[in-house]
Amino acid sequence: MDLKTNNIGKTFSGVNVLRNVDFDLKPGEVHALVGENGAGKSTFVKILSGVYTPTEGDIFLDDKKVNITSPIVAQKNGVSLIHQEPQSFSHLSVAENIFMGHMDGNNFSRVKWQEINNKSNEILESIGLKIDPKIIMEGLSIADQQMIEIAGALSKNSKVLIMDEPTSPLTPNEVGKLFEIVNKLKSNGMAIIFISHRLEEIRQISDRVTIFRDGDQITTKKINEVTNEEIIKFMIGRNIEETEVKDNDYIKNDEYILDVKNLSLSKKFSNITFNLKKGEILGFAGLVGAGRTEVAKSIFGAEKFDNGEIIYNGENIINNSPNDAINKGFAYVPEDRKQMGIFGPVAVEDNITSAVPKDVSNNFGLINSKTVSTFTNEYIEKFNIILTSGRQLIEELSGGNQQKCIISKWLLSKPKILILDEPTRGVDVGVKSEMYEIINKLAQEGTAIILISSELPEILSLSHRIIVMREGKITKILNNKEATQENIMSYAIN
Amino acid sequence: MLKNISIYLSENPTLRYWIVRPEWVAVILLIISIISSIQLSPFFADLAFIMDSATPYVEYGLIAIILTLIIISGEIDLSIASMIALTAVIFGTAYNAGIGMPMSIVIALLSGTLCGLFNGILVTQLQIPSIILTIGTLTLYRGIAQSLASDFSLGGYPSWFIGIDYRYVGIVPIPVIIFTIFAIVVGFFLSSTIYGKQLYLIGTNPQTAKYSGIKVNRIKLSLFTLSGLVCGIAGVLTTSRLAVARFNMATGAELEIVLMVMLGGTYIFGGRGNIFGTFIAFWIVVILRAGLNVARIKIESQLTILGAMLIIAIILTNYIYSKSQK
Repeated sequence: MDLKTNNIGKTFSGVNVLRNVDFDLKPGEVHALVGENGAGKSTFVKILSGVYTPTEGDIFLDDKKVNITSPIVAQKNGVSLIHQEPQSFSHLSVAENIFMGHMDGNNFSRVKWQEINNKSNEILESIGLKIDPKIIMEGLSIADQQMIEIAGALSKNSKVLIMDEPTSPLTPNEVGKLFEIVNKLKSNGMAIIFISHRLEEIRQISDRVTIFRDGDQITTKKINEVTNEEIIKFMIGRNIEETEVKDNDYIKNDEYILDVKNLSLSKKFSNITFNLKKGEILGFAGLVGAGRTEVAKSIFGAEKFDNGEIIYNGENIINNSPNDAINKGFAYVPEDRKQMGIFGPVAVEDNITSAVPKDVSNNFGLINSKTVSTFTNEYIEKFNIILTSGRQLIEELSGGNQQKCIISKWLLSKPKILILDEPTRGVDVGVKSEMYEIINKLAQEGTAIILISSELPEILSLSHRIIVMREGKITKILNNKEATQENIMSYAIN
Repeated sequence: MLKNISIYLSENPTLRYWIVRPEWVAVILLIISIISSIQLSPFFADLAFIMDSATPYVEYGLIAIILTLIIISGEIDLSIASMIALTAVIFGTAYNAGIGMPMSIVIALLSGTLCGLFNGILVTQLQIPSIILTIGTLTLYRGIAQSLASDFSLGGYPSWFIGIDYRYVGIVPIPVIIFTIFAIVVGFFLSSTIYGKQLYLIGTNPQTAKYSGIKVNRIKLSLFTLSGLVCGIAGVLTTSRLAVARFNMATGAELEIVLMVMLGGTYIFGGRGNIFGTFIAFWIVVILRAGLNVARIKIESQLTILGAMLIIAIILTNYIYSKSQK
């Protein structure tokens, strides 16, 4: 099916988030959308799939004007959205999930199980998936659940498939499998919109790419007529310099601040042994689920550990709680920002000062609001946090600005060891490079940093040494000079 | 028009902080109930009458203030009314066993504290949701009170002890003074100290609070314990007012106390609310109850009106919070 839009725009309570999008998509094409967070690509696909209605402009399917007023209308017109996190009913069978919402009954409204199971089988086979449609959804991998969501779209005879960052929860292997399916659909004439932050994947799978920035459609190019550098330039409107690992005076000395020996926690990790110098950035690489976060939580006292020793400044210590750890000079920026990082409907200034209660109150516990706003303003200025005032609720800020607030909160506690768990997840390219500057500067000032990240370029451009973990064990410790994306990946996988 | 106001407010967080607050709902309801009560009877223009009407509710009011702290920190205590009855019965039993008034009061307060501590330990150590656990102890504590006192009224106290509600400073009964001072002290604690601030943070997001080094369990344990202690005080005050202690005292009072907290704009899911709202809500309940009595509306129908008010207050509170979140 041919999809065209003419001059699409969207305004939310007076704020114009999307302007003048003239987009087209042909049958048998994979068309990638890229842009920083907040650039407008999600708003655009939500309009196409009926979640939002556009404030202006028209949508045409096969040159016929359509009004897509709800997701159901979108589906009836053959447009389906595949969510980033699969939306499945985990206690129902695969077939029920595929046919959810359009199960035909017989005369007595009884479900025709035979027919549904057979049809599901056909669809699954057509995309090369060997799953019994009668088994329960629960226990299937995210990748399989995603494929089943695609099967669901096929069962509705969809002609346009919109995939919103489908690869972000997948392992490299699973991405390969997904791409096989995408290619198969493509050769059958499916029109596909593909959103991803990973340029390598976009290059691999798509025919054309449309770049968004700040609500504008910047350009649409054939993928083989544009380089990655050009795409990034279109995305951020400027060049980004390659950062190089920065040496500092501290790491030339052999002053170890932390020595972890044989740390183990049953079923999570075992025999974790490493050390950390003042001023050093120690990268932790590995696949999701390799146990990196669990090690960090145990060191920080948020979880227990069974065996092993933690030697900090020459003393054998155990952190019984995060409170304990903070008092000793540890800080932990958690990976799940919403659940563990921020107090959502609370003012930015209260978030920023939440880990240093003693510094903003007197001996009787009375809060000194002047100190609170001094601290807050200091960091708003230092990190260029964009907000209206320190009293604004933190949940109203963008992801990148929230993350800057969380880093500020921990820097106020003057940590000796800073653990950063996926510090740039969901943060756009501009803020990312600011964040790298901050991290490098902290190391130069002597803070020891543990950097957990799933983005290899990030690990490579920041860490002095890199620890690779797989299934709860350290498989290799690399110096920055000997590390490449390829050898890190090989230690992470086998 | 409404849309323009909300955009303007979202650009001025400080102004929004002061304007978009659910306790204004309570203030408006209070003004409405005062005006309509004065229409019903000229008594309501008389401050002394209102003060006298307030004394029977002071025991609930004291607990409502502590319950506000508990709800802000994301928990709830429904065993409060049973703790009033149990501590009162223990007090009566102790006094009738001849151990003297001061010691009996100490034992009553101590037993309340222990009941609260027990709630707190189970909630924080075994991670049982407080709404379920305190429904359990609601039954348990009332049951212990009943097996201690059976159907007897434990009386026989010296005359100086009986009738604290008839002692005045000027026109103000002593219980009302106690309540007001308590509200001011706790309100100051909540709004101006770092510990008060931490209650809001715990109620907003306990996980983030834990990772920020806030001692979540210790704080919750103290709150439940404090709730028990204040119920003990309420138990003694109630006994003084009624001159007897019975196992079925304050039956159903937990709902009226929760009503005061909710009416005052405290958010049932934690993280928001304040003592000023609860204080105002206390007076709404007093004036409504007295007003309905003067208007000769039966107790049974009074409940209907209070229930309707609670629902209106909850709808408005939720509406205001949904606006201030966006």
